[in-house]
Amino acid sequence: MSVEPEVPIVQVEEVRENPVLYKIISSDNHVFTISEHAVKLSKTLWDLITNLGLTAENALDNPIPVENVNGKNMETIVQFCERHKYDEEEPEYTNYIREFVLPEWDRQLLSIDNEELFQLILATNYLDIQKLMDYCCRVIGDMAKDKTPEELRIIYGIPTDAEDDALERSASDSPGPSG
Amino acid sequence: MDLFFWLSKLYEFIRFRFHRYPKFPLFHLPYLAIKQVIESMSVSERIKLSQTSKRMATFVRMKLPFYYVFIRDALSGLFMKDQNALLYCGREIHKFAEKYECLTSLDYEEWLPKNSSNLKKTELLFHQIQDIFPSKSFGVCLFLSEIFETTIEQIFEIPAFQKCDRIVLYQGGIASIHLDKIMKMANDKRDIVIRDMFKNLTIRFEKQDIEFDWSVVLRDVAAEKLDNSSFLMPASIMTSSSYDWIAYGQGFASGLLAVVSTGYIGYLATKYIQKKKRDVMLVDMHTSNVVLQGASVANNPSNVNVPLMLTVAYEQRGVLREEEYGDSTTTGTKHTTITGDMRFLGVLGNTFGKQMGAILLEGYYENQKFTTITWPILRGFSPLPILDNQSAYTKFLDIESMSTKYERIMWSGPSFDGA
Repeated sequence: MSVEPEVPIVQVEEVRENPVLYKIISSDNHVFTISEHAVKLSKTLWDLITNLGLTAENALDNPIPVENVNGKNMETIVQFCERHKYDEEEPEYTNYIREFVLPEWDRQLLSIDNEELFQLILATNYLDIQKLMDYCCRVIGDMAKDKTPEELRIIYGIPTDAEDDALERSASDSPGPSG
Repeated sequence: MDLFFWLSKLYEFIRFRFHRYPKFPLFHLPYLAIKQVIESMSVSERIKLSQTSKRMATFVRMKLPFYYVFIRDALSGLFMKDQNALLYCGREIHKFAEKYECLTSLDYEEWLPKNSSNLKKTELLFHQIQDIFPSKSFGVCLFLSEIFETTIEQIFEIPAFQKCDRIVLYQGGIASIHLDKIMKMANDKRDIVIRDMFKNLTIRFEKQDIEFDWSVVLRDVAAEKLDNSSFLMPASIMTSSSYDWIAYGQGFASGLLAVVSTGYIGYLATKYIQKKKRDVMLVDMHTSNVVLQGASVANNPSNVNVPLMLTVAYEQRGVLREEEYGDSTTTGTKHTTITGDMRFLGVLGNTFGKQMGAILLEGYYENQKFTTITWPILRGFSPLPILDNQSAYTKFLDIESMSTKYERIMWSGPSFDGA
């Protein structure tokens, strides 16, 4: 478990307020510290902390390796969690449409290119951070605004029915693992 | 093909060819993330997305609780109130539709054949939307004054529309023969809602002439028991601003279906939850004589959502009385009638020199006596119980549009025991 950091520890300013800190090591060995309230936003990390029995006393001595998330995404995630650690829980949406306004701070945080956004969503999905997932999905959903179906096909890379059928046929024609 | 069509196609071609769109590989995301992206989209965006491929349509599919099909010729379509969306079968948009997210036939050209009638287009649109947003429950709303291209028979010959859970008749008159047909579509699971109509209309139903010379608005609502002492009528009465006053009733009584008063005329409709019989009361306060007309409702409804049906009407006329209560004098004509375990009293008279009218209702529910009152008042409602044994669940709602022609009408009538 003891992985020596090769790069300086990333300190997010708000972290210093909270006495209980945890260390997270990204896949490229960047080390991040995150407060207890912030880390609770990630169900995966919090389950891990609970299962490992990390406490205020031993948390900093036992960094948590997160193999599936690189340093860049982890930095965004830590920033997001620290920013929203004291937020109240969102009410359940009732009218079958998720209507919320993306706060400006978060919009700026998520103003990244689509490849990075894609990786961030995968990381968020892995770490199970619902709020960040909502925000990322809203950014992607917003790309559909005032677009025609054909434009949506281009933007989201949606294959046509014919392409889907061809793909299905080629998948069924190709020999299976035994053949 | 008109010029506009070809110009829009040309514009689309140029846009696709030269515009650099952001690209995001949606299908490479995990399934739940794809669903969440779609959930963040509005109804119109989802409809457009569903047109990209069959596979995407399966992702977009989402159940909705209820929506309306509305028929008004070229302005027919679907209305999803909770989702704030209006989907039109044609290219036109209603002038009052600005606050909604509107889609027109241009947004789903592939679904609607150009040469079809508006009714056919609406039907096709409904089927397509049912595929994307399946809903177990939907209503058909007929804007009677705006239907010229089709008939009510043709509308309800469509099998899909026959399965609707609510029929709303709105604006305008309807021939009795058509109304009878609609009323016969009533069953245990279908509401018939009538709004802003029936003016100057005599309908003949089950050998009984019923004259309507006012605009009646009634809404079939189910009483819902909240706890041991309170009941809530989930829907209040709709109103028309074109009349002098309209009293709203809500939470009126457990057995009450609807209360509407327009002009000098009150309308009461009752519905018994536990009995296989329910009554409708028509209260005419048009003249100094209060006339209570009760129309029994047959059809043995076993379900609280059974729509209104009028069968037998009767009338009771009472005598004029003058009574003093403290500082005020109530001069009026009181009439009561007893229907089942509910008693109605209509009063018209003068108090403080003002003309007044009120309808009282007294009855029992689960061995608890209740008394309640509807006020044909003009501004505001009484926040406190008026009568000694007025139930706590009597509640009145304010209304938006009322005439300044009348002052607030006061009520200081007696309890029913003395009536």
